[in-house]
Parts: sequence; structure tokens; C-alpha cells
Amino acid sequence: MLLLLTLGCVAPAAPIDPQPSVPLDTAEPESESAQDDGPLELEVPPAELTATEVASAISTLGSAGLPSPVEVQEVYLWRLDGRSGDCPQGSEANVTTPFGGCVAADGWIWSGIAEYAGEPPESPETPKSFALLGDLEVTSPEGDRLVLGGQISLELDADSDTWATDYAGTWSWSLADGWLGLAGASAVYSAAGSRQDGTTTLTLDGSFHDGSLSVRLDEVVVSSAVCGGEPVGRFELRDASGYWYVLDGQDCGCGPVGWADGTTLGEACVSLAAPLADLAQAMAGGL
Amino acid sequence: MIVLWLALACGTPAPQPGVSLAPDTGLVALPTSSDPDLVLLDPARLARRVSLDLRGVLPDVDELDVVAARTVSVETLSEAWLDDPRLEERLVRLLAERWHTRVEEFLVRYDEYPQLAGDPTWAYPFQRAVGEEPLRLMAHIVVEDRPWDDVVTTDHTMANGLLAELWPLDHPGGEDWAPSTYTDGRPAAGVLATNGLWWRYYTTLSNYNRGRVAAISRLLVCEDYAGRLVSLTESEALGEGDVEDALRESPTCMGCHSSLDPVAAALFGFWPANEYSIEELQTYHPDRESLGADLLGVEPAWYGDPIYGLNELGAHIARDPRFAPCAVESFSSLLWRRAPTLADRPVLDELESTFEGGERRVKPLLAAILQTDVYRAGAVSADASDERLQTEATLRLQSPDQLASSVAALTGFVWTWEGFDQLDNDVLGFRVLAGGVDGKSITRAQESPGMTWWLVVQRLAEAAAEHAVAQGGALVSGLDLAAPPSEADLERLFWWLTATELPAEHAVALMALWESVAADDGAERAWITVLSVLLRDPLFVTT
Repeated sequence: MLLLLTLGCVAPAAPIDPQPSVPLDTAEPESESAQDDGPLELEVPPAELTATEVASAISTLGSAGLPSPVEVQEVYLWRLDGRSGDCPQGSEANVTTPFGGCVAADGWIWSGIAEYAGEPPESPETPKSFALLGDLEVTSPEGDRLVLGGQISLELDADSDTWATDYAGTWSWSLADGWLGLAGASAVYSAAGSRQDGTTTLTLDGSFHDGSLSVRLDEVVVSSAVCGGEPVGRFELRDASGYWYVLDGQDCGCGPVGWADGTTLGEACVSLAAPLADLAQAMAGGL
Repeated sequence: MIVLWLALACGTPAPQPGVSLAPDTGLVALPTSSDPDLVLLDPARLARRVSLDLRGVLPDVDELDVVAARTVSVETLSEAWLDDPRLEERLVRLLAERWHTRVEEFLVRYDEYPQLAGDPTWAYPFQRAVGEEPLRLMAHIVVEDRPWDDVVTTDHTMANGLLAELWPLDHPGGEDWAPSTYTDGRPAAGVLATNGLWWRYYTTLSNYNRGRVAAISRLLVCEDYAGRLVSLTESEALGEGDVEDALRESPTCMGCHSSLDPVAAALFGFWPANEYSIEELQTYHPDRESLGADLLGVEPAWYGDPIYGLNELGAHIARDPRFAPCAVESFSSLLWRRAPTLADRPVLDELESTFEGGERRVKPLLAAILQTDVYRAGAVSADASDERLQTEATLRLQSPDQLASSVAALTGFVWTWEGFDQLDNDVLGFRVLAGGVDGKSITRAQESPGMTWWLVVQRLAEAAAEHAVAQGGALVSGLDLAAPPSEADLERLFWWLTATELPAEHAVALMALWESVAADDGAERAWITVLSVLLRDPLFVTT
């Protein structure tokens, strides 16, 4: 057979990205601004909500309760009781499955991994310190889903009557009544609390998406002894445009509501005492 | 003979849209180079290069005839080909060589989706659908003749039926790629709001999107952080302190992080709490947008200009004075098949004027690039320096996707195995071996022939020739496969495949080959052999 092609030397394959594009005309601008004609100022659309509507929307955040590490711990350990044989694999409360998942004897499908550290609590009302990292989906024969996506830790210190938690990710159980049952919900927050002389306090900082609303609680402090349990701090609500409303609730959850264009829409109050108290109580139960 | 161990499949060549071959006024002038170092391709060979670059297929014989006769200019054909529907697919492949999103694996696998688990034939469609999302958005914007700015500001993406089933997308239905809208509240930011881009350029929890910023800075404004000088000695000395503090306070770190971190702060809607979790990765998290400022300790900004967040990022990028030049350099580099040099500056300036004058539409830019001497060069003159000889890509290998599409149009042959396109993947295929880019370990197309490239080309040519003869592909249309080729047959085939006249000695060799094989194995096998030789001719596999 004719070999018509003359083989030449092969250019070595580029092991790293070779397109560091030629810095021909790409030197970083000397000025602080990357723009030719000064900073670009985009027009912020007018606010669509009133101050009261903003506060009302933020207050609905806790209508199904706030995401609690205790609930995640409870549902994960409950489901772990369904482990059978090699499905899922893993020692103690850790879980590993092959890609594509596995089917346990009870018909539940396990897919992913989870790493759990800590002792199991005797009951949900008395949680114990734990840490859980999850990339796991467990599906019942009826199609009900438990999803673990993120990491959670809870540290309880009975000596000082304090606790702290970091909650991050998408955690859901489709049959749950509270936050875990909200479709598309996720949260990233840190919180710490204490119980002293019958007074429960809680500080919280983080963001919440309940499937429709996106809310930020910024350095929020709540005490069962002041403001009727209403929180003090900054409360932010995201508009569909990508801009945010800010309620500066330094007066027991009441204060001016600002919009992204710098205007103040008026004053209003959030009402989050009940869900925040529930969250604090759930953790304090383990002290 | 290599053992035939690959499963072969067939496909239907894409329809050829009509291109008017009405003659231009008068005899078309031969192109001349303003660069004394470069010798330009003749019109037929140039038309062939343009057609492969814009459509992925060869010009037909009629098109070659009119440009060779100089009754129609290559520019006239190019203008028509810029409106060819196959341009969109070609742009996807071209842009992939720079954006590197058509990788073989992401942090999420197809079989982590319950709908796809258990059926390995979803592996390839899944990988490609994810990786092509941003590429198809960019290609769609180009073929719709919209400004390139839309790439970072538009409120939609492109999705096919598979992505629409898996991700929170509003898609018009069906399996085809179509403009689609995410339903999870992500802002309008073009490719910056696509899962496909951020699945390729993922972030770890502690990296806080910084790697992503390096990627978009390189891709959109040609500012490459990896090209900056870093004092490793001083960096190592920082090991004892808090890293995040050092990034904000140490001059060694601030050189990059003072501009990088504020952009990263705008991307926290895509920051996952677990970088392997489907739920975390496929959904935008609007509530996390403001976490960036807290975690990074800086307010969002684009190279010094404050921005509110991702909803304003695209507009600031589009207004960056580096954005348009970077687009010009990027497309020039892809079509020139080499990186621009300082000597190209005047040409790039002209191209940028064209780009800006055309409201930053890419089609006029492409048309202008096709007329540059560097693009049209077929050789370097004898007087040129060695450096110039090394720089210019005057003879270019067909890329794997060009080979696949041109051979499919000629023969009907599409090379697949277990659902994987053999010239388009490396899990069960030969994309890299055929000179392609995988987007991770190989980030630049192979420039010269090599042994593995040759083996792939040989196998492709053999299988395609066999398929054409058995199934009657376009290449054999009008041929009497029971008889030896006539001289006219061979001349026509060679002209079609190479845009070059068949040398007499070459014709004699092909005829002798046909007769030799026919004597042992019959006429059909002889035709297969001759066609397979033609399909691996150096003038066919190059442009």
C-alpha cells in the first residue's frame, strides 16, 4: 500500500495552557479603573416593594422553621438504620456507594457518600455534637428523597452551656414538615448560642433560600430576655433583579428599609422571634 | 494492516445550502500579499481552507471551478458561507479550543443522575452537553449577528433536551439545542451565568472562586494571572500566618489578589457548599451572593470599578478596554492557527477597527480575518527569516472535527463506538491522538503530523472509503465501481478532495494501485483502496 504521507516531527503537546494570550495590548490599566471613560454606573431599577412588604417577606422566612442541624442529624441517622449488607458500604455512620448507587434490602436507593463524626443522640430532643459532610441522595421505593449536599457541624459544651453550629448546603427530606421539606431550599450560616439563668441567646450570620425567597441575616442577635425575643441586626431580601433590600433592624427588628439605589423606603419591623427561638431551643436541648 | 477492532457506524451528511455561483463582475484579481515573507494560497486552495473553517466541509467541485477560473472570488463565497447553518457548529468546535469546556469529566458524572444511571450511552452526550453550553451560547450569538457583548450580558443560555431534563431550565421542548432560561434566579450574565462554564472551572470551598476569576480574566480580557511573576520564596514565608490575611495584606499576594478577589466576591451565587453535590452545583444560590464580601473581606469590583454583583459584572467586562481587543486576538488566533505576535499589532488594530465599526458583531470580524495575509498564507518565502518560518502556520492539519465532518459529508461515514464519537473524545476515542484539544491536559491543537495522528487518519480513511463504496456516499456518486477509474475520474476526485490538479505521476500510481488490488481482490476492493489513499493524501488532511 502506498504511504503517501511523509511523517514529520511532532510538536510536543502543550502540557499547560498555552493561550496566555499574548499580552499585546492587554496590560492592566494603570489607573484604578478598567474603563475608558470612568466608572460604569448602571441604572438600578426602581424598588417594587414597600418597606412593609419587605419586612413581611423577610418574616415569612421562618414560616416552616429555620434549617436546623439537629433535624439533619435525626433524619440521617434514622435512614442509616436501613443499611443492609453492602448497601451502602462504609463503617459506622459513614457511607460510600459506587457510582450509579446501590439498592438496599428495603428497596431504598443510595447514591453518593457521607462522613459522620460524633455519637448518636438518645433522642432528637437531646442532640449531641456531630459533624456531617454529605454528597448523598437516598430515594425510597416510592420516590421520596433524602438529599445531603454540604457540611454541617454542631458543637455543644455542657460545661459552659454554649453551642455553635455551621450549616452549609442543600439538605432536604421530601416528607419533612419543616425546612427540610421545602423544595429547592438551601442555607449557609454560622450560629452560636448560650443558656444562662433561663435566658437563651443566639447570634446568627448567614443566608437562606427557602425555594422562593432569598434572605440574608447579617450579624443578628436574639435573646429571650429582650425585645420579646425579636432579633436585632441587618436583614436583607433579594429582588429578582439581583439587587437587594436592606432592613437595618437595630431597634428590636425594626428600622429603615433601604433599596439598592440608595433610597429609603420607610421603616418596618421583621417578625422572626418564633423560628429563631425554636432554632435556639433545638440546639440548647443538648446542653 | 491494522486489525479492524472498531465498530463503524454511518450517518447522513448535512445538507448543502445553495450558494450562488453567479460570476462576479470581470475577472477576479489574484490575491496579493502585502507581507513579503508570505506566499498566498491560490484561490481554490484558499476557498477550501475557508470552507473547512466556516462549514467543516470541502467546497464542492463547482465552487472550486469558479474560484479557480476567477469568475467568483473567494470573498464572495466566504460571505455566503458566513451565513451557512453549519457555521454555528464550527464555532462551537473552534471556541472549544480556547475555552476548554469540552472536557471528558466534570465533578459530577452522568450516572449520579438517577435518570441516566445504568445506561452508559448517556456518558458521552452528558459530557458534551455540559461542556458545550457556554460554547453554544457564544456561537448562537455570533450566528445571530448580535454584539459580542451579549456573551457576558444576555439573559438566556443554550440548552438541549438532556440539560433541560436535568437542570432548572425553561426550554422550548424537544431534544435540540435552543435558547433557554434558567429558573433559579441567576442574573443575566451570558456565559458567566452558565453551569457549563462553572462546572469546567470549578472552585473548591476554600478557593472562593478565585480560580474561576483567573479563567474569565484570561478568556475575556486576555489578562492571564498565571503569566504574572510570583516570588515563591516570599510566598512560602507566609506559611505560618493566616493565608486569607496574607492575601489581603502581603505585597507578594496582593499583586494578583487585589484585583482577583473582588471579582471572585461577585461569583458566590455559584459557590457550592460541597463541590461534588449535584444539588449544590446545578442550582444558582442567590442568597449566597453577599457572602463573598464577608468571606473574602472585599467588596465586589471589576479591576477597580465597584460592581453590585454578578448582575453588573458582564456589563463592566464588556466595557473594559481589553474586552474587544481580546475578542479580536482570540478569533484571529483560532483562524490563524497560531498565537498573535507583536509584529501582528498593526493587523490586529485594523481588525479591531472593523470589529468596533461593526458594533462588535463577530461575523464582520471573521470576514476580515479571512482576508488577512496570515490567514491566506500557503508558504513562507525563501527570503523569510527562520523565526518567521517557525511562526507561521502555512500548512495546517485538519482538526479532528474538520476531518470528521468533511469525511462524513463525502462518504456518509460517522465513526462512533458505544455512543462515543471516535474523533471527539478520549475516553473511548482518539480526539487527542488525532491532534485535538481535550481542554485539560492538551490545550493546544497539534500542529505537525505524528505517528498516532497518522494511525487515526489511516483508520478513518480506510473505514470511510469502505463505507462510501458499500453505501454509496457522495464521493462515489457518478463512478462506475465495477470498472477501473478513468483519468477524468481520478482528476475530478483529486480536485474535489485537495483543490489541486492531479500530477501525472500521481495519476499513474493510483491507476497502478487500482489494477494491482483489483487483480487480487476485485474492483470493489480496488476502489476502496484508491479512495482510502486519497482520503489520507497530505493535501486532503491539511488546509
